[in-house]
Amino acid sequence: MSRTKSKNKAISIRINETDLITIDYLAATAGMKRSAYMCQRSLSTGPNLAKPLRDKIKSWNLLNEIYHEIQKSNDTQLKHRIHKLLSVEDSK
Amino acid sequence: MKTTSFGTLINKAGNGKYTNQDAPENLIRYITRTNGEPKNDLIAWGGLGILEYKSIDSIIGQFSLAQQLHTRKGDFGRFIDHEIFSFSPKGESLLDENNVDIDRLAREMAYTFYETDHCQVLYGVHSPSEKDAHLHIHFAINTVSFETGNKRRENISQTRERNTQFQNMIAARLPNDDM
Repeated sequence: MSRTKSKNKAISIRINETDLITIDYLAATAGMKRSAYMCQRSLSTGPNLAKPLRDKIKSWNLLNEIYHEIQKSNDTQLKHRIHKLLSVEDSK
Repeated sequence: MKTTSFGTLINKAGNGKYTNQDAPENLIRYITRTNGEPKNDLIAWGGLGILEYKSIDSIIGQFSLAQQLHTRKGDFGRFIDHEIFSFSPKGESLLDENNVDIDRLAREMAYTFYETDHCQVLYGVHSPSEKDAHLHIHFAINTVSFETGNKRRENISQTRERNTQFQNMIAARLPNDDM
Protein backbone atom coordinates (compact mmCIF):
# COMPACT_ATOMS: atom_id res chain seq x y z
CA MET A 1 0.00 0.00 0.00
CA SER A 2 1.39 3.42 -0.92
CA ARG A 3 2.09 5.99 1.78
CA THR A 4 -0.79 8.23 0.59
CA LYS A 5 -3.23 5.34 0.58
CA SER A 6 -2.30 4.25 4.11
CA LYS A 7 -2.48 7.84 5.29
CA ASN A 8 -5.95 8.23 3.77
CA LYS A 9 -7.00 5.02 5.48
CA ALA A 10 -5.68 6.33 8.81
CA ILE A 11 -7.67 9.54 8.34
CA SER A 12 -10.83 7.65 7.44
CA ILE A 13 -10.67 5.78 10.76
CA ARG A 14 -10.87 9.03 12.68
CA ILE A 15 -13.15 11.05 10.37
CA ASN A 16 -16.55 9.87 9.24
CA GLU A 17 -18.31 10.67 5.97
CA THR A 18 -20.26 13.66 7.37
CA ASP A 19 -17.04 15.19 8.74
CA LEU A 20 -15.43 14.83 5.31
CA ILE A 21 -18.32 16.58 3.55
CA THR A 22 -18.06 19.47 6.04
CA ILE A 23 -14.28 19.66 5.63
CA ASP A 24 -14.57 19.62 1.82
CA TYR A 25 -17.15 22.39 1.96
CA LEU A 26 -14.98 24.55 4.26
CA ALA A 27 -11.89 23.84 2.13
CA ALA A 28 -13.73 24.85 -1.06
CA THR A 29 -14.95 28.04 0.62
CA ALA A 30 -11.36 28.85 1.56
CA GLY A 31 -10.28 28.02 -2.00
CA MET A 32 -8.02 25.20 -0.87
CA LYS A 33 -7.60 21.46 -1.35
CA ARG A 34 -8.82 19.23 1.48
CA SER A 35 -5.30 18.19 2.60
CA ALA A 36 -3.95 21.76 2.52
CA TYR A 37 -6.97 23.00 4.47
CA MET A 38 -6.62 20.28 7.15
CA CYS A 39 -2.92 20.96 7.43
CA GLN A 40 -3.50 24.68 7.90
CA ARG A 41 -6.26 24.06 10.48
CA SER A 42 -4.13 21.68 12.54
CA LEU A 43 -1.23 24.13 12.53
CA SER A 44 -3.37 27.08 13.55
CA THR A 45 -5.61 25.46 16.18
CA GLY A 46 -4.22 22.11 17.43
CA PRO A 47 -1.08 23.09 19.37
CA ASN A 48 -2.59 26.38 20.51
CA LEU A 49 -5.27 24.58 22.51
CA ALA A 50 -3.00 22.09 24.23
CA LYS A 51 0.15 24.06 24.93
CA PRO A 52 -1.28 26.76 27.24
CA LEU A 53 -3.08 24.07 29.22
CA ARG A 54 0.12 22.02 29.61
CA ASP A 55 2.07 25.11 30.67
CA LYS A 56 -0.69 26.10 33.07
CA ILE A 57 -0.72 22.70 34.81
CA LYS A 58 3.08 22.73 35.11
CA SER A 59 3.01 26.21 36.67
CA TRP A 60 0.52 25.10 39.35
CA ASN A 61 3.21 23.23 41.32
CA LEU A 62 5.25 26.41 41.56
CA LEU A 63 2.20 28.42 42.65
CA ASN A 64 1.56 25.81 45.40
CA GLU A 65 5.14 26.17 46.63
CA ILE A 66 4.80 29.96 46.75
CA TYR A 67 1.50 29.66 48.61
CA HIS A 68 2.84 27.22 51.23
CA GLU A 69 6.02 29.22 51.80
CA ILE A 70 4.09 32.44 52.25
CA GLN A 71 1.76 30.75 54.76
CA LYS A 72 4.78 30.33 57.05
CA SER A 73 5.60 34.04 56.93
CA ASN A 74 4.60 36.46 59.68
CA ASP A 75 4.46 39.40 57.30
CA THR A 76 0.69 39.87 56.84
CA GLN A 77 1.10 42.62 54.28
CA LEU A 78 3.32 40.41 52.11
CA LYS A 79 0.87 37.52 52.57
CA HIS A 80 -1.98 39.70 51.37
CA ARG A 81 -0.02 40.88 48.33
CA ILE A 82 1.03 37.36 47.32
CA HIS A 83 -2.52 35.99 47.77
CA LYS A 84 -3.76 38.77 45.53
CA LEU A 85 -1.15 37.92 42.89
CA LEU A 86 -2.01 34.23 43.09
CA SER A 87 -5.71 34.87 42.58
CA VAL A 88 -4.90 37.01 39.50
CA GLU A 89 -2.68 34.20 38.17
CA ASP A 90 -5.43 31.58 38.74
CA SER A 91 -8.05 33.54 36.87
CA LYS A 92 -5.93 33.69 33.67
CA MET B 1 19.90 -8.51 51.92
CA LYS B 2 16.28 -8.82 53.03
CA THR B 3 14.74 -5.58 54.19
CA THR B 4 11.60 -4.95 56.24
CA SER B 5 8.40 -4.41 54.25
CA PHE B 6 6.88 -1.17 55.43
CA GLY B 7 3.60 -1.73 53.62
CA THR B 8 2.00 -2.66 50.30
CA LEU B 9 0.93 -0.69 47.26
CA ILE B 10 -2.51 -1.74 46.02
CA ASN B 11 -3.79 -0.80 42.58
CA LYS B 12 -7.58 -0.52 42.76
CA ALA B 13 -8.02 -0.35 38.98
CA GLY B 14 -10.14 -3.34 38.04
CA ASN B 15 -12.14 -4.13 34.94
CA GLY B 16 -15.01 -1.63 34.62
CA LYS B 17 -14.02 0.35 37.71
CA TYR B 18 -14.01 4.16 37.75
CA THR B 19 -15.52 4.30 34.26
CA ASN B 20 -18.35 6.64 35.21
CA GLN B 21 -17.88 10.33 34.48
CA ASP B 22 -18.42 11.21 38.14
CA ALA B 23 -15.72 8.77 39.35
CA PRO B 24 -13.00 11.48 39.74
CA GLU B 25 -15.33 13.66 41.80
CA ASN B 26 -16.44 10.76 44.02
CA LEU B 27 -12.87 9.60 44.63
CA ILE B 28 -11.46 13.10 45.25
CA ARG B 29 -14.27 13.81 47.70
CA TYR B 30 -13.70 10.46 49.43
CA ILE B 31 -9.95 11.04 49.79
CA THR B 32 -10.29 14.62 51.01
CA ARG B 33 -13.22 13.62 53.24
CA THR B 34 -15.50 16.18 51.64
CA ASN B 35 -18.19 13.67 50.68
CA GLY B 36 -20.36 14.39 53.69
CA GLU B 37 -19.21 11.36 55.69
CA PRO B 38 -18.33 12.35 59.23
CA LYS B 39 -14.88 10.68 59.23
CA ASN B 40 -12.08 12.68 60.78
CA ASP B 41 -9.13 10.46 59.96
CA LEU B 42 -7.63 12.69 57.23
CA ILE B 43 -4.26 13.88 58.51
CA ALA B 44 -2.76 15.37 55.32
CA TRP B 45 -3.61 15.87 51.68
CA GLY B 46 -2.16 17.64 48.68
CA GLY B 47 -1.41 17.18 45.03
CA LEU B 48 0.79 17.73 42.03
CA GLY B 49 -0.36 19.44 38.85
CA ILE B 50 -3.30 20.89 40.78
CA LEU B 51 -3.82 24.10 42.72
CA GLU B 52 -3.93 22.85 46.32
CA TYR B 53 -5.13 26.10 47.83
CA LYS B 54 -8.31 26.23 45.78
CA SER B 55 -11.63 24.59 46.70
CA ILE B 56 -12.28 20.87 46.16
CA ASP B 57 -14.78 21.80 43.43
CA SER B 58 -12.03 23.68 41.64
CA ILE B 59 -9.62 20.73 41.96
CA ILE B 60 -12.25 18.41 40.43
CA GLY B 61 -12.52 20.93 37.58
CA GLN B 62 -8.73 20.94 37.16
CA PHE B 63 -8.77 17.14 36.67
CA SER B 64 -11.54 17.47 34.10
CA LEU B 65 -9.62 20.23 32.29
CA ALA B 66 -6.65 17.93 31.64
CA GLN B 67 -9.03 15.22 30.37
CA GLN B 68 -10.08 17.55 27.56
CA LEU B 69 -6.64 16.96 26.05
CA HIS B 70 -7.68 13.39 25.25
CA THR B 71 -9.12 13.71 21.76
CA ARG B 72 -9.27 10.10 20.58
CA LYS B 73 -12.74 8.91 19.72
CA GLY B 74 -14.27 5.83 21.27
CA ASP B 75 -14.81 4.57 24.78
CA PHE B 76 -12.99 6.76 27.31
CA GLY B 77 -12.45 3.89 29.75
CA ARG B 78 -11.30 4.75 33.29
CA PHE B 79 -11.62 8.39 34.29
CA ILE B 80 -9.38 8.07 37.34
CA ASP B 81 -6.82 5.65 38.74
CA HIS B 82 -6.78 4.79 42.44
CA GLU B 83 -3.79 3.34 44.26
CA ILE B 84 -3.33 2.88 48.00
CA PHE B 85 -0.15 2.43 49.98
CA SER B 86 -1.16 0.66 53.17
CA PHE B 87 1.42 0.63 55.96
CA SER B 88 2.14 -2.56 57.87
CA PRO B 89 1.88 -2.33 61.72
CA LYS B 90 5.71 -2.38 61.84
CA GLY B 91 5.98 0.33 59.15
CA GLU B 92 3.47 2.52 60.96
CA SER B 93 5.25 2.25 64.30
CA LEU B 94 8.63 2.97 62.69
CA LEU B 95 7.24 6.16 61.16
CA ASP B 96 5.94 7.18 64.60
CA GLU B 97 9.16 6.38 66.45
CA ASN B 98 11.28 8.32 63.95
CA ASN B 99 8.91 11.29 63.58
CA VAL B 100 8.73 10.91 59.80
CA ASP B 101 6.91 13.78 58.11
CA ILE B 102 4.08 11.79 56.49
CA ASP B 103 2.92 14.67 54.27
CA ARG B 104 6.40 15.03 52.80
CA LEU B 105 6.65 11.28 52.28
CA ALA B 106 3.23 11.10 50.59
CA ARG B 107 4.17 14.02 48.37
CA GLU B 108 7.41 12.35 47.33
CA MET B 109 5.48 9.16 46.54
CA ALA B 110 2.92 11.14 44.50
CA TYR B 111 5.77 12.71 42.57
CA THR B 112 6.69 9.30 41.09
CA PHE B 113 3.29 9.21 39.30
CA TYR B 114 3.60 12.84 38.20
CA GLU B 115 7.15 12.49 36.95
CA THR B 116 6.82 9.22 35.05
CA ASP B 117 3.30 9.52 33.62
CA HIS B 118 2.86 13.32 33.52
CA CYS B 119 -0.54 12.96 35.14
CA GLN B 120 -2.11 15.07 37.89
CA VAL B 121 -2.11 13.37 41.29
CA LEU B 122 -4.04 14.03 44.47
CA TYR B 123 -3.00 12.26 47.66
CA GLY B 124 -4.60 11.93 51.06
CA VAL B 125 -3.26 10.30 54.24
CA HIS B 126 -5.85 8.50 56.36
CA SER B 127 -5.15 7.38 59.90
CA PRO B 128 -8.19 5.31 60.93
CA SER B 129 -8.89 4.80 64.60
CA GLU B 130 -10.44 1.33 64.16
CA LYS B 131 -8.50 -1.47 65.82
CA ASP B 132 -7.57 -3.46 62.71
CA ALA B 133 -7.09 -0.52 60.34
CA HIS B 134 -3.71 0.98 59.53
CA LEU B 135 -2.28 4.22 58.28
CA HIS B 136 -2.64 4.43 54.49
CA ILE B 137 -2.12 6.89 51.65
CA HIS B 138 -4.61 7.21 48.81
CA PHE B 139 -3.48 8.38 45.38
CA ALA B 140 -6.01 9.58 42.80
CA ILE B 141 -4.24 9.80 39.46
CA ASN B 142 -5.71 11.44 36.38
CA THR B 143 -5.82 8.86 33.58
CA VAL B 144 -4.98 11.49 30.94
CA SER B 145 -1.43 12.77 30.58
CA PHE B 146 -1.36 16.57 30.46
CA GLU B 147 1.81 16.27 28.37
CA THR B 148 0.54 14.03 25.57
CA GLY B 149 -3.23 13.78 26.04
CA ASN B 150 -2.83 9.99 26.01
CA LYS B 151 -4.37 7.62 28.52
CA ARG B 152 -2.23 6.30 31.36
CA ARG B 153 -1.67 2.56 31.71
CA GLU B 154 -0.06 0.62 34.53
CA ASN B 155 0.48 -3.12 34.62
CA ILE B 156 1.24 -5.37 37.62
CA SER B 157 5.01 -5.24 37.18
CA GLN B 158 4.95 -1.42 37.10
CA THR B 159 2.91 -1.39 40.33
CA ARG B 160 5.45 -3.77 41.90
CA GLU B 161 8.32 -1.56 40.76
CA ARG B 162 6.62 1.48 42.26
CA ASN B 163 6.05 -0.45 45.49
CA THR B 164 9.82 -1.10 45.68
CA GLN B 165 10.47 2.62 45.08
CA PHE B 166 8.09 3.45 47.96
CA GLN B 167 9.83 0.97 50.30
CA ASN B 168 13.17 2.63 49.48
CA MET B 169 11.74 6.10 50.14
CA ILE B 170 10.60 5.01 53.59
CA ALA B 171 13.87 3.21 54.33
CA ALA B 172 15.81 6.37 53.44
CA ARG B 173 13.99 8.20 56.24
CA LEU B 174 14.83 5.65 58.94
CA PRO B 175 18.06 4.89 60.79
CA ASN B 176 19.90 1.83 59.40
CA ASP B 177 19.26 -0.34 62.47
CA ASP B 178 15.47 -0.19 61.88
CA MET B 179 15.72 -2.18 58.62
